[in-house]
Parts: sequence; structure tokens; C-alpha cells
Amino acid sequence: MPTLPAESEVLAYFEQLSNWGRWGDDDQLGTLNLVTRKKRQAAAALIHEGVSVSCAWDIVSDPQPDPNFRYPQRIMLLTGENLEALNWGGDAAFSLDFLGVAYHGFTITHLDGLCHAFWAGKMYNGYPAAAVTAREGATQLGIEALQGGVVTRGVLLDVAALKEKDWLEPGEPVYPEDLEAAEERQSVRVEEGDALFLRTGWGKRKRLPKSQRPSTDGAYPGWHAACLPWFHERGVAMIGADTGNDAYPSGYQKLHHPIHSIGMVAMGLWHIDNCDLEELGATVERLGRSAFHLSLAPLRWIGATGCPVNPIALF
Amino acid sequence: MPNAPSLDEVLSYFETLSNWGRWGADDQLGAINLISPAKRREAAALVTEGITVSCAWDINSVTEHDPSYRRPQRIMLGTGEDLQDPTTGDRWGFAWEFLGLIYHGFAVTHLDSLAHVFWDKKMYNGLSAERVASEKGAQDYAISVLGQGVNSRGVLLDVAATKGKDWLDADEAVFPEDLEAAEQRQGVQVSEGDILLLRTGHARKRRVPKDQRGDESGIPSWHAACLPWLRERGVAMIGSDTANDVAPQQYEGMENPVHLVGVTAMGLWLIDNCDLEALHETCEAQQRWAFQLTIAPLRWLGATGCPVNPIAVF
Repeated sequence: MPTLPAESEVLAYFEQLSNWGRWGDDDQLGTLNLVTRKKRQAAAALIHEGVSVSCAWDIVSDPQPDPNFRYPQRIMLLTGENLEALNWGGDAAFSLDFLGVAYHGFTITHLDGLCHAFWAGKMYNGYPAAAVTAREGATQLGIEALQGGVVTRGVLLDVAALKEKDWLEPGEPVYPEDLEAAEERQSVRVEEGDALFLRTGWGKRKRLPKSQRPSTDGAYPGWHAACLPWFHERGVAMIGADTGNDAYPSGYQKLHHPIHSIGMVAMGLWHIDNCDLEELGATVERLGRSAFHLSLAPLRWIGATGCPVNPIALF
Repeated sequence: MPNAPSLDEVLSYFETLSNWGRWGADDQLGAINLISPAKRREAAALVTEGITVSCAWDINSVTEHDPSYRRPQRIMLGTGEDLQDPTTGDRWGFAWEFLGLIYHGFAVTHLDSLAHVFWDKKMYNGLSAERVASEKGAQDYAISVLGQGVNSRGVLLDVAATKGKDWLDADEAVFPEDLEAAEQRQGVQVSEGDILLLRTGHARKRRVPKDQRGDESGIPSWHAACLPWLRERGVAMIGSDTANDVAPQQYEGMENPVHLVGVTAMGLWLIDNCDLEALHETCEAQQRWAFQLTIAPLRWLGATGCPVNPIAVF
């Protein structure tokens, strides 16, 4: 096992890895500033087969036994049932629904806005946490900052395959050494502006019937805090994983989710939580290519702290 | 004005333009089948500048700016107000909320799934409208059938600019002749598998104060006469800065013919209420009206559509 940073060292990351002011005092984009026009052009050049792969889970509105699941609402307002009874006098009719969800948590594939995480009353770039209010929502760092979407190179590092496991253990942390071993195995190198995805195999586990996957009591595999300086050095623009990104428990007393707290607040690093990376992993294996064109288009919802998304990888 | 088809002719489109069975009896994708892997590669080759442009409006939960707008709900569940004192309590905290909305209508940029429209109690490919039910939602043609996203060549036909108008008149219908005039002006040809966006300038009109908008009694859009043209060209999806049908209605007993014939008979996907102003400016600056377009609806089982943020990449 690698040498782990002490909690005091991890707390020092708030200073050492800080991107506050790096892209201006009023910057709202954080590490997405690392995605250049050149980077997007290079990403488009990775499209050879014309195959697209979603990295998102279905959103299921049926009642779920998962306690972490905040039941998405799909309320049908008009349907195709009993159309005669409507008696509109025509042959035409439309269906209509209300969709709503509290997407933060451990189920829905979603993007965290940089206003999602606070540390000591502050957000990324020093904005006060109090700028997120009950009435106005996020008045700084809301998800609408990404109005033009995200288009860049995506890279999948398959640490489950590296370790020859179906999935990593609950609570199993992933270290920079694992990332570099995966890079070597897959012949790819993570570079500035990349959206980096970590496959822990958790998507495979989630597909098992409930009876075959006992509760992990809130323990998940994910990035260890030691990956943070590595992200900073490589210039990663966005991270995603098939879990909630942080390994739980974190191994630290005061830092329950260092990837979220330090990544978002100090570095302005964007997170996609709860991806489904099974088909992506299979496509990477099949084509023998770990880098692809990635696009992501959150809704331009003013004041929202994130958004459910469907990240699309194109090969 | 070009010759408008009679009501009987438009009704006959249900037969003559039908794609029922064309891609199999159990097809769920409709005209999206026209987007081939080669088309996606063609679209990728259009990315030469690395510039992205959104075609969506902001979703605003605070200010209502449209009478037909069913206000989206953003219910804050955790905020940065009243956090613990970081010197004594936890230093970490999170903000989160519930987001919900009725996106169909005339304000929110959204994709209609093929389960959104019924004609004679049927949907695309002849399936019964009853497949869309209260409890389970859309059991066919839910938006989740586009789970892998849509990526193709996008083409903007700027009919407002072609006509030299800020925006089209309140009830102005766009005919195939207008589309071809725009093609000629712009030096672009709509081809199979394209996502075709029509700019009427309505988004510009939406931006000016109400008292400067002039006549607001109608909405410009495609005339039903465009339907044979769209099928002949093999368009996979259409979008516009209005809701894709002219108001007031032009045929008694046949309201919203582009929705009815397009979705039900042709399996054509519609993006309603785009904001095409930034796209228009970029196209003019680049002198290029074709680009890579990606749309990634949420994989929401049973939903009849989805709010989307279509992204054009140059």
C-alpha cells in the first residue's frame, strides 16, 4: 500500500492545490478553463467509428428499496388512456408529464456545480457559502455557468480491470499508483483538459439482484485524497466515477469527503457522480482505445447546484 | 405566397409520408434511424474551431417571462445559509435541491419523444395511445430510447435573415420555397440524417420588452407544406425557435400538423423553443451553417420528452 498523506497534509491541500484567483477573481468555471479550443478539436479527431456510448443510468420513477434513493417524480398529466372521455372533438391528442428529482446523492448520474460544496463557509474562488440561498438558489457558481456544455477528451481508467476484480471492495480507495498502473496497462496518459473517468466496477455490482449485494453501510470505493495533487499536476478538468467519486469512509476524521471538499472548493474541479461505466469499459476493451470524445450538456437552470446529466462518449 | 396544400392533402400525408414499418414493426427510433455512423464522422469533421454554442434558453425558477410558462420548480433543500460555525462545528457543507418542471409548452427548450403525440388514438408505427398510461408513463417511445444521445450534423436555415427581417410576422408560415432560398443564400444543402434548425427570429422577439414586440397574436413556424420536403431530404430531427407549428391554426380540425404528421406518421423528433440567436451570430461570423450537434436527453424511463441543452460545435 502506498504511503498515505496524514490528515494535516491533506488539510494543507486547501492551500497548496488552490486555484483561487488563477483564472480571475470572478471566475465561475474552475478547472474547465483547462479545456481549450485546441482540446475540443483534438477530441473531435478521436471520432473514428461513429459509435456513441452513454455513461448514465436510467432514471427510474418506480418505488425503489434503496434508502439513498430520493424517488424521482414522473407525474403523468395527460396520457393516451380514455381519450374518448376527453371529448376534445378532434382526432389529435398529446401526452404531458411533470419530471422532478433531487438528484444529489448516490443513485442518479449528475454533475455537481461548484456551488455544491462548502468549506469553512466558502466556495470555490472564495465566494461565500451564503451566496446559495433558499429563495434564489445559487447566486454564484450555479450550474448555468456551463451554458455552452462541456466538450473535451474523455479518458477511462479501468482500475477494476487492472486489479482483475469484478468490482473494488466497499471502501477501497484508489491511489495515484493505481491510476498510473492503469495508464500503463491501457497505454494512455491523462493530460491537461481531460475529463477523467474511474471505473471501480460498481456499475456491475449495482446490476446484481438486491439479495446478492448486501448493504455496504455507506462504504464505497472511490478516489483517495492522495489523488488530488495528481489531478492538479495533470490538469484534469473534470472527474467522474461509477460511485460518488469519494472513497467512503475517507480514512480521515475531519474530512469526510476530501475529493468533494478540496476538489471543488480549493481546485474548482468538476465532478460527475454515479456514472454507469460498464458499457464504456466494454467499448474501451473492444476497440482497444481508452480516449474518446466526451460531451455533456447540463440544463441551463438558473441557480441550480448541479444537474442530472447523460454524458456521451463518442468513438 | 406559395400554394398551401388543402386540408385533404395534409390529411393524406398520414399515408404518403408514413414511415410505419420502414425500420421494423418494433422500431422505437423513427427518423433517428437516418443518422448513420458515417454521418457522425461527417459531423465530427466539422469541428475545426473548437467553439461550442448552446441552443437552449435558461430555465428560470424566479422570474416568469411567458404567459404559457409553467414555472419550473427549484426547491432548495440545503443552502449556505445557517451553516455551523466552522471554528467549532463541521467545516464542510453541501448545497442541494429538488428540480422539477413541466417542460412541454412554449417556453422551455425540450425534445418531444414519439410518445408525445397521438392521432386517431395511435402513435408512430401504429402503436396504441394507451401505451402511455398514468402509472407507468410511456411504455413505448419514452425519451430513454435516445439513451445513447443524438449526434449528427446540424444545419441552421436562417429564414428570418433570408427575408431580411428581425423576426417573422406573428402568424407567418415557412414554406419549402423559403427553406430552399435559405439554402441558396447560405450555400448549404440539407441532407439525410441532418438535424435541421429553423430560425424565425422569435427568440430575438422574446428578448425585447413586451411593448416593443408588436403583434403577438401568433407564432411563426414551418407550414405543413414542409412535411413532404423534410421526408424527401431525410431529416432526422427538426428544431426551431418556436414550438414548430404555426399559430393560429391554419386547418380546421387539424391543429399542429407538423406535430401530428411529423411525430405520428414520420417518427420525426422535434426540439421546441430553441434559442437560436447565439447560433445565428456564430454562423454569420463563420459564414458556415453546418456544425456538429449533440443532444443528450436524460434516460428517464416513461417520460414523453425531456428538457435539453443542444450543443453546436464548430
